[in-house]
Amino acid sequence: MSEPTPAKDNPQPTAPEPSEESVLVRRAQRADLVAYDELIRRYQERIYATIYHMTSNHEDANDLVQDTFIKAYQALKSFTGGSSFYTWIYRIAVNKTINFLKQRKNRSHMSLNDLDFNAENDPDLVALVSDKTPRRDAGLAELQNKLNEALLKLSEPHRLVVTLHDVQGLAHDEIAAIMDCNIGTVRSRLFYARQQLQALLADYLK
Amino acid sequence: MKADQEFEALRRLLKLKRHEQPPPRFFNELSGEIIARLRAGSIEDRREPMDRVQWESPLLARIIDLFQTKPVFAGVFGAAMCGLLLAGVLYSQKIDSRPPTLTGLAGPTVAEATDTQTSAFVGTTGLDGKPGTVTNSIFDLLQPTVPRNVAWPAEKK
Repeated sequence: MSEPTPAKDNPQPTAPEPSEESVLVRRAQRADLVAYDELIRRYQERIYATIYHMTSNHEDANDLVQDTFIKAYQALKSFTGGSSFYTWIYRIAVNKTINFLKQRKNRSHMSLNDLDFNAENDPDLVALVSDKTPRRDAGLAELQNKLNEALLKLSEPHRLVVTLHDVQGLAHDEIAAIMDCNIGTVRSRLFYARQQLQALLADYLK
Repeated sequence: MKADQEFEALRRLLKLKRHEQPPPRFFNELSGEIIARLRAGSIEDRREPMDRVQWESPLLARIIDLFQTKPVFAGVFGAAMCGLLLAGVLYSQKIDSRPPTLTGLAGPTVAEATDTQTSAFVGTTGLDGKPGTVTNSIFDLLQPTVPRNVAWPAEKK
């Protein structure tokens, strides 16, 4: 298994310069909200995306991303720099989301975001909808619905690995650091999750 | 590599997730909302009790989490606590069935000793030297001073 393809397929930028980041963190630790605002702006899209892909619900993701940054601010004094701030805040977001999903359990309902304009022009997606899918009438919206339903059927750790690797483009070692497990576990979870998804979405992948 | 080829179609389908975007201006306003929440009032008071537990006592948070995910553990824990409480109540009733009595220096008689099941100190001999008597206090073990008649030598005239 390889690392995710970086350049154009990876929608997430890499983590910023550590020194620049650590200056902002130190300022935020001294209750400088301007610095913390800068840190939020750097990571909000990635944190939101992770939570959104885990919950398939925009409102829940909005609440959780806010709670994540507030909790991180409260706990900022305990951040010693043992890991990058990026990994640390991801961990908070992931723990918060998994706790939320455990409590929500069978009460999940989807509130999906709209697809952006580029989706209709993405050659891979166009091919999936028109050429390779036996159900040629399936539009992107239906495909989006089915994909989210299938993702919600995975267990939280499996969904998280697929989200971080195949959707967000994080490397195995980064995922291992976020999930606090070894790379082998990440790989096996990814393999199992993909197998499950492949079975659940077989009609759309032939 | 082989695994990636195996899941190539799936990976292409998953790319659809990257095109899901929140409403316009969502990210422009998000940080402002968070900072406003941070500025408003005492953050400490706004924390949820579970959040506080999680940060201040991770072990307790794990136990609570275990109870939430597997309620059977909560049931077993509750039953164990009830059992302990019941055992404690029964034990304390047994201990306190008769309060210890204060007796004189001579201590209780043998007859009393047979009644007094809960005496704190049971010796083989009592203060009066009789075997089998019971003492109730550590002070009972002190030997009483017995006055003696002393004959002083007569003065020589």
